[in-house]
Amino acid sequence: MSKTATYALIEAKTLGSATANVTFSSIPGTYTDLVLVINGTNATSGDENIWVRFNGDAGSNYSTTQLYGVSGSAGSTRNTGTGMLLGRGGTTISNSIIHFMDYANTTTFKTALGRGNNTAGAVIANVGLWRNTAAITSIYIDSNAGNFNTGTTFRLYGIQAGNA
Amino acid sequence: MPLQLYKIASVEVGSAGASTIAFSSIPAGYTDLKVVLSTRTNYAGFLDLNMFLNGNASSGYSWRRLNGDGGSATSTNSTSAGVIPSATLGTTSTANTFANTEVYIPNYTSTTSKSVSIDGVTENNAAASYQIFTAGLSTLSTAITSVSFGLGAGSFVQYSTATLYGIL
Repeated sequence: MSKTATYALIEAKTLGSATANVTFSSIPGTYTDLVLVINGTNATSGDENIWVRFNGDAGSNYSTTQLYGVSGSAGSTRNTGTGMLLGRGGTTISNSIIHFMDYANTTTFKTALGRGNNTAGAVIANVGLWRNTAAITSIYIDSNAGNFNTGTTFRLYGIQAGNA
Repeated sequence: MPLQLYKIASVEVGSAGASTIAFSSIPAGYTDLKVVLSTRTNYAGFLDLNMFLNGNASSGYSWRRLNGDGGSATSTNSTSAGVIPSATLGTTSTANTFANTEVYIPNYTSTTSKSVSIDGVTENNAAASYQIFTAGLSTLSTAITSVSFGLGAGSFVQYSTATLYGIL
């Protein structure tokens, strides 16, 4: 029977206490894409970007273009720096859904699409670029300010392309 | 690795049309829910596609929506709403064209408020068309057992579809 594309849970984390950052490491290279789902709250800040780094790379090798909607206005910004802005969080329960496409290839730079949903802050749709051809083997997740609150969940899924 | 995206149920609107598309008796055995819709209505224009949970279409929701119409981007919101909206097409849109919507609800069985992500597009071969990103919040503090989609006017037409998936 041929395989069908689906979500396969690689690892799930639920915070037992407020935590500054979360890392998924030793990510297997056997999938086609990755999906990261974050659901929870920020312990102190009402509206913050959630950002990621790959493989421990803390260099200025990331860029993001963001489309956002906040109270009464919409706009777009661009960011270059040491992390890729892909999610949104706040003291109101929020979620972020992030797709990392073709993460295991060793030929191209890596791209990601992120949706962040904070009804008390911003709704965002972002695209990010990591200027590195290495396969993604770890994902570090942090917030611009405040900690991820107790009970916040992080689930990393692999999606396998279906075979003919 | 076992499959972890399961189709729970699907709906296709018949020739009589439908005022609401609903999934009920949703089992609690998954972690997240995902709904994918393809919809058109018999209303002369664009309509909000209104999502509500556990039969409550009157209160307990807030949302923030980012809209693009091909000419500008705007953001609208409500802090006290009866539903969480996306958008769908009607009779004045390009024939045989249906709006696409994807809804994602993490941790749908939790005993805390529910955060919702909605992406929608009302592709239309004309000057008016919309791309919508919605952040939604429901104060529902019990498990979600039904997800419904309604309209402010008119009905869903034949061949509108919706599929509910559970993700482990």
